[in-house]
Amino acid sequence: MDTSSQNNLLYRSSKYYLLLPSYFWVIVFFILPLILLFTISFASKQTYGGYEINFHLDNYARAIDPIYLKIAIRTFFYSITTTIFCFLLGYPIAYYISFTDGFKKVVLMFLILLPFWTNFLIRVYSWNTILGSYGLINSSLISLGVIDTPFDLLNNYISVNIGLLYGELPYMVLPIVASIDRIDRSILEASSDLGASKYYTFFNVTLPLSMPGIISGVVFVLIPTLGQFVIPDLLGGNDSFMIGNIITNQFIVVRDWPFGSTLSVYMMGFVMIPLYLYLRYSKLSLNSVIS
Amino acid sequence: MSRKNDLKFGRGKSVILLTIVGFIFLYTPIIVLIIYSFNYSRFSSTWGGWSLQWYYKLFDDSSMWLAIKNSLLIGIVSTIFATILGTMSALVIKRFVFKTKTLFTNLLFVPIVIPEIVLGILLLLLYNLIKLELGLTSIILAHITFSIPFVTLVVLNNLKNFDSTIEEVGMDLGATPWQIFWKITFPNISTGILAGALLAFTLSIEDFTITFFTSGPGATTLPLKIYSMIKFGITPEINAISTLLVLFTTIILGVMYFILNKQEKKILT
Amino acid sequence: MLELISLSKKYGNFKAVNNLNLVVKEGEFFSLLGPSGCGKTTTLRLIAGFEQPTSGKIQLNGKDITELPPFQRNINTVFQHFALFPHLSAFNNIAFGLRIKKKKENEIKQQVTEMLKFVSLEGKSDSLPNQLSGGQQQRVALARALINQPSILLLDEPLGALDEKLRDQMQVELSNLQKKVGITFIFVTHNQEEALTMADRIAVMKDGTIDHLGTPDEIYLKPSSTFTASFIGNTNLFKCVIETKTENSLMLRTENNFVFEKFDASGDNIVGKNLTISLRPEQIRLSRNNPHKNENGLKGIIKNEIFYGDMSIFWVTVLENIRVAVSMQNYVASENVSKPFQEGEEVFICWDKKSGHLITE
Repeated sequence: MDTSSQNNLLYRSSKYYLLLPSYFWVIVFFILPLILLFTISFASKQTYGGYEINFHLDNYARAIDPIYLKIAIRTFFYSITTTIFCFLLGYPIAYYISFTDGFKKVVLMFLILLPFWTNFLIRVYSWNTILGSYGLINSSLISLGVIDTPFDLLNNYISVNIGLLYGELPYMVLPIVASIDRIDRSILEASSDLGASKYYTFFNVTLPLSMPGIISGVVFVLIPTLGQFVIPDLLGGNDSFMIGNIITNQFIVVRDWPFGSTLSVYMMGFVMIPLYLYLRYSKLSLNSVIS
Repeated sequence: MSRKNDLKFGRGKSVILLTIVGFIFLYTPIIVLIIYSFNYSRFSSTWGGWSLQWYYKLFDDSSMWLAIKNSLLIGIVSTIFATILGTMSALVIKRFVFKTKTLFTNLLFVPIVIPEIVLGILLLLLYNLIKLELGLTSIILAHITFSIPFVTLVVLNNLKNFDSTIEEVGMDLGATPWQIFWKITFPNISTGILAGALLAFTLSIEDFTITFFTSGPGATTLPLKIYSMIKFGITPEINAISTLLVLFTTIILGVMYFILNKQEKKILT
Repeated sequence: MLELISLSKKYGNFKAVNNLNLVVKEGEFFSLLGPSGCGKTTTLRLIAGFEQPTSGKIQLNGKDITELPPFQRNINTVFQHFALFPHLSAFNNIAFGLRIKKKKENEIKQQVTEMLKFVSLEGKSDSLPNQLSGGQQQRVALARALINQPSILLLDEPLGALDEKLRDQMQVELSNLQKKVGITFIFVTHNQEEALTMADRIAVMKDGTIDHLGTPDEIYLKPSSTFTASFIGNTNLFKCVIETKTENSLMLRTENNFVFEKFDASGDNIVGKNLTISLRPEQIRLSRNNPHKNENGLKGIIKNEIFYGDMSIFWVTVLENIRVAVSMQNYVASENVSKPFQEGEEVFICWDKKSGHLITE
């Protein structure tokens, strides 16, 4: 940052009142509820969704019961596979797009962005018409005579994982396109010039230099997937619920807010602690990872 | 000169193949959905011939129109507030050294990286504590909360290209801080602010999770309405509304592209 | 030996390189010189293989390499902004080419260490590019290319990213380096001084073709076109027609009917032919006295003096509205020491009848 603007007289005089509204908003709508969440996570449930604050660890003990633990492990498993598949499919797409230009690039970027403006729920739900017993895949396979009885593709782990991959793919592609775009083309030419094949250039130059985009992509895919509840709700069955579904259930149906809060604290911990450690280790700032 | 790719980077067979697979994967559901929106039959399993009946049904559905109205209202109001607050935060972060700067910046951006469900619950707990009735107000406040960090981020990135010495020129020429902001700073960062506002609006219109936790009776937004339709299994109407959304988006973005393209050409000539 | 045969490169309708023919000899320090947009960088990129020509051939030592990708050509490049790998240390940048050739690690270590010493960067082997100064980055880029022992080293405005002091120093370093390694250097620049000081031969380019090819003194003293004459250094150009002719002298008439003599024994100029005479500012002198017997002279008024320290340029108006640039060394023992020339003063501009270069176009 340039020092001239730091000492800018204009802003020195007015900075405090410019800061106030943002600080106010962050404190009221974020810090305060966070304190509330922690407090309630140690509370006891009362009838009609109320809670009594009487600090104990029962909720935290209950949360590591095998029933919940199993769902937690499943959530991690789904999140990691989703992230890996998003990367494996998203990187080639991003790589391809980054090396197009002109109108073709505009069209391809538009095609990646269009899903953002088409309702997320609809996009996820549309897989019903493809994966169902009478859906596109099964009916084509049956009419081709490949199978007699339809595959069970819907309301299980298959449909949930497809839905997760589908919902998160654009979030992997976009930051990677941006990071490959930022690589000076003459660096790639230099690699080729020094005798590197395209494979060698890719693995030794392009891939390491696009790492910031990959990390952003991973953050943008992994975190929402860990907290996901809509996709298992719409496409999943009993074998594919995730932590998000349990939390939603506690708040909306069972009305056990303290236990729901405890699960939320755990979830925040699983997201924030690794992220914090990563930022500490890599000496990066939060906004450099997300921008 | 535009970049030439005579070395054919990113043009290997496997890259092209995976890109094609990726786009097929992204677009098959959308195309299927568009086709089925014209299906006379109520069930996606059978093709009952072409029909526009689900579109007629959609236009007659008053609860759908109410949901769209709510979504637009929430989107516009929350965008205005989030854009103002986010722009101010970005200017503050870019310009000043203050003791709590790192803490402030990190707190501001944390909502982007915590799962949406947690943010929804945090706000639900807050509203419950302060006895704020769940409705349009609670949703608007929630949307402002999650939009501020995104606007800040976009404006901050735009400010990177802004040479602040021109503000000092303004000062040198005797402008007041207020004049400097409106006559010098704002015109130069207005594209960033506009991009931030567009993002905030999109996020608001699209949001399901946080709205799900912070809405009350009578305050149904379009995503909530779609969710309940899906839950009740009214699929053909959903297909129709999503087809309209795709069409609408394509037209708006297409028009925007051509306007921007024309402007660019004007600037170049 | 590198041969470019009828080489062309089109971008849409724009001919960046237009039917270019060129032979670069082995071990030569060759420069492609021209204003931006003349096609010199495109030519370099075609030689390197980053771009494919629309038509034409490139031969290296008699072998056609037109279709070969860059990594199969024994040619290396030093890029304009160096294009060092930002994620690799100086050592690993230089070792890049050797690693691809799957050299043994101890061999790589030995060669890179030698190379670092050669470009005097011994202590910097672990530094990342952004921890190095511009001059150091430049030397890493050179080392990274030279370690592969290419038959040709291409340099794309390699001094353009450096500040002026460093540039002067690197000009000398580059020339010495080229002599030491004996590799053919092809050097692209828009800076005539760089080309004149370093190159053995220069190709002045214009609109995708070579306007004049020659040694630095040839292109400076005997430019084949008015473009080259005015692009290389400063010059005064006058259009003339040959009025009369003797065995070793011509009488020339300018457009405003000034007639003067030019010694010329070439014999291929005939009466009535149109040509342009190029007179360099240093070929003309100012005088308060009449011209000598073997000089042409014109009366004029000094309009401006531009002071450069070691020398000055005087703009003199002659024949009512023709501006002529005359350069003069300062602080030498001449008549202007005792009484310097003043702006507004009436003087003679004089030039030797042998001076001046005739250009036929």
